Amino acid sequence: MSRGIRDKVVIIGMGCTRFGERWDCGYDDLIVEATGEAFADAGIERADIDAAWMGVFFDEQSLGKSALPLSMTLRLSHIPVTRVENLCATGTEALRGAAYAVAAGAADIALAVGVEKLKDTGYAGLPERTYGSFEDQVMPAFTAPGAFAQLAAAYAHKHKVSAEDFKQAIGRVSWKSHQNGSKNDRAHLRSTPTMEQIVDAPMVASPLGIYDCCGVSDGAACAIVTTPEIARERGLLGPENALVSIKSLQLAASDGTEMSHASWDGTHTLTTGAAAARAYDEAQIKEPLKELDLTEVHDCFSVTELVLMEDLMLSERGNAWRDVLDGRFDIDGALPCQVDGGLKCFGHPIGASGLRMVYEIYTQLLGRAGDRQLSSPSLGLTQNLGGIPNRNVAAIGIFGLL
Amino acid sequence: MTRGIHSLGSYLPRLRLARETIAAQTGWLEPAMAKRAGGHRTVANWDEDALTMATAAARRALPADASVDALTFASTTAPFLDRSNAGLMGDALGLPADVERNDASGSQRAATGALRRALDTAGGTELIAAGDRRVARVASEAELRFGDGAAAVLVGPGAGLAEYLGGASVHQDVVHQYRTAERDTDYVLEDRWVRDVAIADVVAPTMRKAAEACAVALSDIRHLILPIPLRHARQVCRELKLDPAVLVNDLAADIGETGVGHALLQLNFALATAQPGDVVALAGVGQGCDAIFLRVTDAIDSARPTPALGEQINSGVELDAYLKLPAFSDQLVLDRGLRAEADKRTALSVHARRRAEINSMMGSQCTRCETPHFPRALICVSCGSDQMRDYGFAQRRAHLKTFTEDWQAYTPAPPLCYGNVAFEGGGNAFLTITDVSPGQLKVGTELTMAFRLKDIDKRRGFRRYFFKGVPV
Repeated sequence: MSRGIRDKVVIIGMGCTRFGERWDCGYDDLIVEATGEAFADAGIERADIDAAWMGVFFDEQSLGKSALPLSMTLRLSHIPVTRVENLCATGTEALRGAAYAVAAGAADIALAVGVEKLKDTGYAGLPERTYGSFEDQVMPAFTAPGAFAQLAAAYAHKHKVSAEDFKQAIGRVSWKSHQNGSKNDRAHLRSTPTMEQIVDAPMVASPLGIYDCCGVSDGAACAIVTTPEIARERGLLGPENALVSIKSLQLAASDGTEMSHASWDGTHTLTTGAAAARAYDEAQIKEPLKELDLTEVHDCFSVTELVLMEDLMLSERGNAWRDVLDGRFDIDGALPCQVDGGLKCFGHPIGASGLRMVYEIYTQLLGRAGDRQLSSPSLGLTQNLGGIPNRNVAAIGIFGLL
Repeated sequence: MTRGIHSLGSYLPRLRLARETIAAQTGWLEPAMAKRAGGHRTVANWDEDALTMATAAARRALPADASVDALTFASTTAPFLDRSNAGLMGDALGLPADVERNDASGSQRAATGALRRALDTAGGTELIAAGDRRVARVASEAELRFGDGAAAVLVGPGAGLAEYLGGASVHQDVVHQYRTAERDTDYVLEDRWVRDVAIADVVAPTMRKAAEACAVALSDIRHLILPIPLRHARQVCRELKLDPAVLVNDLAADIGETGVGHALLQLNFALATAQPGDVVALAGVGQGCDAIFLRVTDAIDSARPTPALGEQINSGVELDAYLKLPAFSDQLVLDRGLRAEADKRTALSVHARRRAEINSMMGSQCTRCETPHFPRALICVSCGSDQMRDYGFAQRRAHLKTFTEDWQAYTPAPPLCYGNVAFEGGGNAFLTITDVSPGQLKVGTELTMAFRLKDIDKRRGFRRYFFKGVPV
């Protein structure tokens, strides 16, 4: 395995818009809102950026193809600007591009922006799209909730969890995130539904009810990265006089096993486990449950978060549902998850989510999280799952104080 | 040259609607008609049509080891006016490309005409599959009377299970009902005139002519198949001096009039119990009459159609909502929501390139480690080899690994059910599941593959077909 980029790249500034139904905003407003915060945070100017990456998924919905929407909105004059897209891992991919450029020495300071303007379709849920000219002729016309709901039946069957217990466990995932999100003024959903409201909500795709699904929202988030040396040389340590370092960035894409082979039982994601093993290795983490202080994982649906706890080795196989019910991942539990409210409360503007997760880790590590601040965290993990359980891209980031 | 019927099969859609349920909603228009409404009719699911139902019947009629030289699909409601429906059916059945495929249409005698030609003409084996999805106007008498279903027979050299004795056909351009390309529903004339002219003037004389041709006494008929209303069939019996007890169940009480395939459906019913030596007389009626005489052979005892029609009649699922009937046959303008606006344009060059997968569910199998793949793989997911051979999935059993009932996805009949499916012998696929009752699906539910409508592209008048899992 390669030596990786541990501590070769630091984040010197981040920005994150308020997420929500931003009827008042286009993608350009969102980009300016997020990057404005990041430039102020980093204490640099737009002209200091050597290269930029922009992540957006549904380009058809709002801003069109290419990275030009970013370069033209921010007037980034004639520097390399690249658009990336890798399903729900898009935001992390933008960061990966920027971090690798800095680690390679190709850029001194690089910008990663994730943006998505979803709420211009006129209907609830994600926009309709084609799955491909062949796939449309054979694949089910699936939706995201329906594709992720597949995990539930298989998991409950394999681990012999009753439908009622499982519904309680996934309900508890959402309950916990709503509790956290209510304390976050950037979150889209800030209500605190009861367990009864969550469990009894109308069905979207069985067994996922409305509260098992994350919202659909607009938003943008961004990061400015450089090397620790440049940050020190230029005095970019910020008011805390601290640097948040990238300990690991890892990506794992399906090879098709899940969709074609009986060796996958449908109860978890193969890619996350592979990416996690490499990420812990790169970050030199031996016991993730003990060493990590917080996680932000891809809770597009409650059941996704539940099975990811096992894929990330934070719960034993078949035990995540019990650990969830026992409060292991609550804000006062052994390893808080979605302290900011997660996709559950932020919604999922696809290109932005990965960077929004990093924003919370960054905020927590620097002690800026206000009402929801954890006690002296030093190591946090983000995870995205792009695609659906039977074919996907898993992205993991680990961040810590340098 | 002896020819006969060697096997046969039938298909009824799973849904049933009590005529009283229809009449309860539509009877205010014509209370007298509503008062007579009894029994059930079959209702095709939204993803079934004449082609899919006849394909299902054909599969049941086709023994595993059968070789077929020709395929005829008979229907007056075939989905395509200009694209070989029988060609597509042949692909769905996995028949080789050089099997001749013919569409037969144009009258209610399309199937019986094709059957008689196949029985009369020396040559190889011919599979004749017939079915209709007859569309009726909301609140019409036809809506009560019609049903959906299909049947198929395999004809070939040798007596088979029912030896062909002879037949006759008479044309008579008496237009008691018709449908033109401008309309999707039938125009039907007065019933009394239908009985006295369209039926009485031609059915009994054609029967006599056929009996003479094969030197069988009319009184030898044990099973008389007349795909016409029972009161008219009784009159034909009187004219032929036959006991009405020889009339084969007209299936009106449990199925309804299914159109072109109805006589073959009745033949399935008769051959479920007919005894060796029994003479079966079968008619097709519409602008004249076809008459076909058969004698049941000793082979029948080991070749009864399965599943039996009676078994299918008894295994339906009752629809509680009348409106699903006109909704499924597109006789209602429903608010389908904004998601229904998604464009369903089909890339036909992609279809052409991958038609073995789409039309026949043909996958590939690694020649090195034997892992099956659907869709076809270029590189084996297990061992990395790039050496593949064809591997068919359409006839294989499977079971559900995962599933959901999705209320957000657009489908004409929510919820959309789908899941990851594991095939016996290996290979997985992500498939739509159809003919499901709420709560019915479980991990491990056994499935067979059924050729169904996948999408209807109304903007371009195109229909996509593919295979779906159906719970066993």
